[in-house]
Amino acid sequence: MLTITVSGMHGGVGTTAVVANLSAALQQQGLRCLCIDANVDNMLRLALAVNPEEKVGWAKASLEGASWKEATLQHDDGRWVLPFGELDADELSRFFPTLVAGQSPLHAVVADLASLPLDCVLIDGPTSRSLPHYSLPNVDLTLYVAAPDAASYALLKQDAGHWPASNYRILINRLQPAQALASAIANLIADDFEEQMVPGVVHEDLIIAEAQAELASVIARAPDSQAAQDFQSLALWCQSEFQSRVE
Amino acid sequence: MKEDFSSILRARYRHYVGVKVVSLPGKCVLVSWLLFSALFLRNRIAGCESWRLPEVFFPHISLIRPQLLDPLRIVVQVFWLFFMRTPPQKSRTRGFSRRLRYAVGGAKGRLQGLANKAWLQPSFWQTRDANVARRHRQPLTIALAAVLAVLCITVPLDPLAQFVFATALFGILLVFNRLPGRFPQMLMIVLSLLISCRYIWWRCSSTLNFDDPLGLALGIVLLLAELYAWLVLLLGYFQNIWPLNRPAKSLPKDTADWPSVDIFVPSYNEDLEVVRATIYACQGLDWPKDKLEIYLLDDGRRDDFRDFARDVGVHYITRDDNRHAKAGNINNALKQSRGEYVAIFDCDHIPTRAFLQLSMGWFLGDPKLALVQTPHHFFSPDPFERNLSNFRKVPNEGGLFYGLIQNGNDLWNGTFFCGSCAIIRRGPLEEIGGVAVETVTEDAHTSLRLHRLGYNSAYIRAPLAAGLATETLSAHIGQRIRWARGMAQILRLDNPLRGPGLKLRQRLCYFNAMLHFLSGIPRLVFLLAPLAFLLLHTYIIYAPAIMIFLYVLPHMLYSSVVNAKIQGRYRHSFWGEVYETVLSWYIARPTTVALFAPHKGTFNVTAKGGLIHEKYFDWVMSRPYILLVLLNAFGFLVGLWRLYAGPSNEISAVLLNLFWVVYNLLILGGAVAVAAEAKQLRSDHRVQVRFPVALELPSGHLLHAQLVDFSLSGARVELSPDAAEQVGQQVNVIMDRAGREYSFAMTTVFKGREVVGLRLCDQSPSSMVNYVQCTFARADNWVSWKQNMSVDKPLTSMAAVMSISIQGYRRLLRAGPRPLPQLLTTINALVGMAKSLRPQPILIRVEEA
Repeated sequence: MLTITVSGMHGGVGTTAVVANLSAALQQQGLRCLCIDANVDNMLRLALAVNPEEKVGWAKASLEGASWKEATLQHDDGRWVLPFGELDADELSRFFPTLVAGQSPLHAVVADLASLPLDCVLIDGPTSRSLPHYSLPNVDLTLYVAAPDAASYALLKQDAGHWPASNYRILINRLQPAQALASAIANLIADDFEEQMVPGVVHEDLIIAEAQAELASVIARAPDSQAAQDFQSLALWCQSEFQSRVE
Repeated sequence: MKEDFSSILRARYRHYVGVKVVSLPGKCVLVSWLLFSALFLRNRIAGCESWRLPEVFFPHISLIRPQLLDPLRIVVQVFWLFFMRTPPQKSRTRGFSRRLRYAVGGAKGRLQGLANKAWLQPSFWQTRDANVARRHRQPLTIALAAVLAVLCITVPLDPLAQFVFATALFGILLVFNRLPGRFPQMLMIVLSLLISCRYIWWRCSSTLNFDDPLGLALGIVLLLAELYAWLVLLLGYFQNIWPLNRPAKSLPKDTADWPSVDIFVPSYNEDLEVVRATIYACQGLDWPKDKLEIYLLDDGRRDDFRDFARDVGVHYITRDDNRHAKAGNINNALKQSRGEYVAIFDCDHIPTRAFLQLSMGWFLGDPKLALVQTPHHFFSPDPFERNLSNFRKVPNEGGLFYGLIQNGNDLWNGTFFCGSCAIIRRGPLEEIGGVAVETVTEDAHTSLRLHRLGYNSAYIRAPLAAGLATETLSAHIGQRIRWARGMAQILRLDNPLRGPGLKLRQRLCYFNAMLHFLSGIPRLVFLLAPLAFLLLHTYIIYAPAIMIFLYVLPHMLYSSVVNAKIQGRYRHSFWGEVYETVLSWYIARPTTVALFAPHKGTFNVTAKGGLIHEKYFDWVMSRPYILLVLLNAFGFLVGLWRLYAGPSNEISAVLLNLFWVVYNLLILGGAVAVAAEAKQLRSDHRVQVRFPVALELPSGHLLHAQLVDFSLSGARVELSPDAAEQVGQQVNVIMDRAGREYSFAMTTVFKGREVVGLRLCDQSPSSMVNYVQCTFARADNWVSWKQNMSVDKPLTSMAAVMSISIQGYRRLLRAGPRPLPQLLTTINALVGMAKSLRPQPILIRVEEA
């Protein structure tokens, strides 16, 4: 079972969109996917067309002592999503210590998953600076999503050397080659982190936002778009990475 | 008013759709048939409805539009239906043919099984070949020479023995033909040499008639031409016996160890547009920028070139005079530059970004290596390919040289400089005094001098740069005349067979290259030889026709089969004859003049980049071939007369010569076909490729598309129909190159259902560099060029040459003076009418009764 944690360099780089569309592409390529939202913001459910009034989630289940399995919801195309859960301020203050403790409830969730008929688990993680403080379970691949902007580059230069795991890769998201600055920064990142780059980028494409607004994935809504192509290539690459590591 | 309009519209509609109004006789025939079938015939006859009988059984006849020869057609079709058409059930003959096919297939299968043995697999021999080549190059040449010496002593045989001998050996040859690897190929070469040497020996010893002075004189002329062809065959086998297939060598990891390279782009009178792409591509070469200097060498002293060089940031060198043309230009620049290596590109040869990285590696390992040459690849069709529609289907003329011959030369350390797409070490180049200026083929002469001083040369057979082929037949021939004259000059002034410094194998390689250009006169002799008997009634080959047949046919068959095996991927059979014939008249005189008076003659620059607005027939260029065609046609007619009216003991000789004349006419037809210049629509050439791009629309959406062709001014992309609909006027095309993405603003010029044509908007120079990098200079552009080309099959190739030949004669007639085009249309009409009398196959659905 392939497990991937997706973490953005900073807020707003598009981590949630990457998780949602990457899982759609993997599902289309035949893998049974589960997306887990590890963020307190609980945003992933909106990208996966969950009813906004739905409050279930693994954190809520853990607080109430219920099984997390009842908090999973299934999308029309077969993907499963396990939201964080809608917690109010009081519940959050009670729950927060467990997130940063040695064994967050997610460890148990992921351990349980091994026995289920799933091929791939995507965890929508916190930003890269917060990631070490959350005790997330070990995964096959950590995908750091960077936007071609100065902040991402600066954070990469500062932090990439200290990242504990060697199984991480950097993905450039929201690239607009027509913009000189974005193009230049993307080239800089690609030059400096040659070995850790994911081959291929995800372009800035309005269709991603439009698809999300229509509660669909880009793969379903606009299969001819470059964004769909980008995510399909990314999904294929993830699979091949996993295969090569298994061997 | 309304009624008039509607009748006009109706008439127009019928005209466009092609519906013709049915005439009264047609209506009568149709109505009478329908009545007849309704009243007197059964509902269904022979599986279809009875009123549809004419439609089904006589599909080429239309009842409502009867034509002149219809009764004849009906008779032929009825005859065919009743006596010839096999009903769709099994018959005894079917079974027999099936059993025969099985037997033959079984034999083939057993042969395939034979070929599947381990020691017959290519991989087994490839590893062995590499080891053997390294260890056995020297004894290999000696052994080969010894074998040849033994074979030269041949024994005359009587006709039956010769027939048996040749047929048996041909069987062995065909068996070897199927086995993979180099050693069967070498054995095939030995067999072919055996037969060809026998032929030449027989010709020299028993076919000259010393009693008839005219016959003797003409016979000796023909014999000399045959000796030339035999020598070229021999040297060709030697040269190509073991193509080296040198791989690219990698450079050291630290770029500080990489040497400095100067890039020279000489130019004289070409358009700036042509040179622009080359300079942009040179700027994008993968090489440390501090070790790369680009020089634009302008012999035309043009202001726009100087301004362009300044704008993009390359060096601009010019000089006051134009002495010694390109060689002088380069020598002048040598004095003003300092790099350790000099890379020379013709102004239209665009290097891919991997050029230096793939070719410089060998220099660092071998201090005596002075030259690395790469192929001249063309992304536009040359006159043969354009006028004969061969582009990317049949290998072009240069395919043999750059694919096989230089590769074979490389084994013997005989690769020579071709003037472009090469890198030369500065030290040796300055040691020989720069590029040679004494001959017009300064490139081969320069490498000859380098070899004389003991330096080595190398050839890398991957196409790393691509350029424009010659535009018109006259430009093409002009270029070849220059090469031929230059090679003949070198043969006279700096004979590779004599003089110090060269090893024997290098001498033979150079000599073969020069010999190849002397083919003008021998080719003309072959084209005119049968006329000696048909018109002048002299026997130039003094032997019975049956003996000629028994010696010539094996000689030609064997060399054809062996050449197809050796050269199959680089040249298809019989095309070489066409290429040589086209050049023969024009290079005959310059080479002879150059052989006797090497210093005469001027350097004429090859014109590049012209536009052909209308298709036309190049009468000037094709005059000599038309003359040869007329002579041969006249000879053919005289031969037919001799068949009827001549003595009966000469009939076999007449038939043999008629055969030869027909073969000559076939080849000449191909030469004539090339002279009909096809229209060329665009001023900048489109290159066909296939790689993915993204189209960014103004709305912020990106569409995924495939780029299918590009040029300096635009591109064409293929999309799904839904995506194509969304493309508007403005679009940014996003291309990637080595992981970097670049965006280029383009406008839509046409839109089809699945294809969109785009024109590149004005770009800044740095953006143009990126564009050329993303398109022309992609490292893998030319690697899969030959994917759609099939390997040579001699019979298929002969059929192709035949059809080209017929097409050539048709074009000649069509372009000719008054009575000829009408003659052509008459012939076409007659042939069409005869074809329409053929019985047509019918389709019947077999229905249950």
